[in-house]
Amino acid sequence: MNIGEHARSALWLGVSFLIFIASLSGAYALFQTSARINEQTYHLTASTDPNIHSTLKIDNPYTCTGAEVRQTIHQIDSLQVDIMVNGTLYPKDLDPDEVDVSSIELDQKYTPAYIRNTEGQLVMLRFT
Amino acid sequence: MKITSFAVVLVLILLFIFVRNHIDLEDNRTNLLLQTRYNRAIDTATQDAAQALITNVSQPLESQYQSAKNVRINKEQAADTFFQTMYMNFNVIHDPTGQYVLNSYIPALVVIGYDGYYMYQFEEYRNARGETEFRHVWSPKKPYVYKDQHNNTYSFTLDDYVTIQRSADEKWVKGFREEIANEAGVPLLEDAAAFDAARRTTIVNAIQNDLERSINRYNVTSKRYGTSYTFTVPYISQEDWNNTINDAGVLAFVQGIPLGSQYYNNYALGGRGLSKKKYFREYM
Repeated sequence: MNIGEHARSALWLGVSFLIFIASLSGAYALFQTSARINEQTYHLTASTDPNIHSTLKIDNPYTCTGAEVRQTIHQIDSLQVDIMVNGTLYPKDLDPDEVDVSSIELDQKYTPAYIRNTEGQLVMLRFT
Repeated sequence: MKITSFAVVLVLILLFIFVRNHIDLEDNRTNLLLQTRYNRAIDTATQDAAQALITNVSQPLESQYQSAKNVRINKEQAADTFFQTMYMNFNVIHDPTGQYVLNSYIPALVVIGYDGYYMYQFEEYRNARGETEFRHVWSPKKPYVYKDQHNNTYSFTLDDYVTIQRSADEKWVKGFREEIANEAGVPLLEDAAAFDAARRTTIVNAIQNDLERSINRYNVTSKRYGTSYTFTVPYISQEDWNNTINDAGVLAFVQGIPLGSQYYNNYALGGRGLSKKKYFREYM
């Protein structure tokens, strides 16, 4: 091997090394960019999720106020089901403007129960 | 170690990192695509449901001349349309098992009517074979009820029409706020701003509380059926609530659909601007 070949080989090695370093730098930059995009996307997806501000609470028994019960009875013609409040039946065909609902205490809490038929349709609304 | 071997080792290490990065990118890309598809699906289904709300159900019940917002709603048609559009978009239209699975990701559907709202929610009931069935059923119509400090009770609507039971003589008074303000003798009716604030707060609170209760109950019951996802009431901005209660419409919730390493959660409002046209056609 003469001195010219040594020089050529050294030059090739130098050029290869430079290309390798340049590729490595480029790859590193590319990796950094895609990693940043990834992180940003995850962040964006998480921030647009409307459920991150959840309002989960302990399941309390469902109760209605007397006011709700009275107004529900007044809308009985659109409900099209009988309503029973503490044993008193309000049939679905009653005249809502003439009904006497004074026995329903405004400040009392009532627990509603939905009575359904075998199709799952509501047939009676019961407040106790 | 020769320099070439060193380079090979370095490239192998980098390759591992790049492959990992590529998987993450691909995961994100798929998630975004699916999310866009799901958003479209739920938006379309809700809009379709809102359109179906005004499907004529009974001709004598159609004419409600008091208010342009007082449209007679067909909630059954709206729910059917919502689920049909969802099944079509999720490609389970001919797959009852897929439909059942998709249903379980929809904890509640709220139909907002003129003088009350309905919840289409999961509930247990006994079917004709005597078995307990757990599926979507309708709640009764729930009025937007408010009680003031004088014990007068109000049933609000999506506009100024109100039904009051006066505490003084227990008489029912109904009409538009402006028209009955003098006759009713109820202080809240004399202040338009306070009336509107009370009306909006009552409607939003009623729907919000009911939704919370319904979703929490669904969580408790669905756990028994093997659902591991915890459903929550999403945060809905005040602007969205204001839009929701402007007109009759549909509010749909879809939660818990697996989306790569995440879950899909969204809600959609449909039916804004749903009101009767303000003209009459003259027939010859």
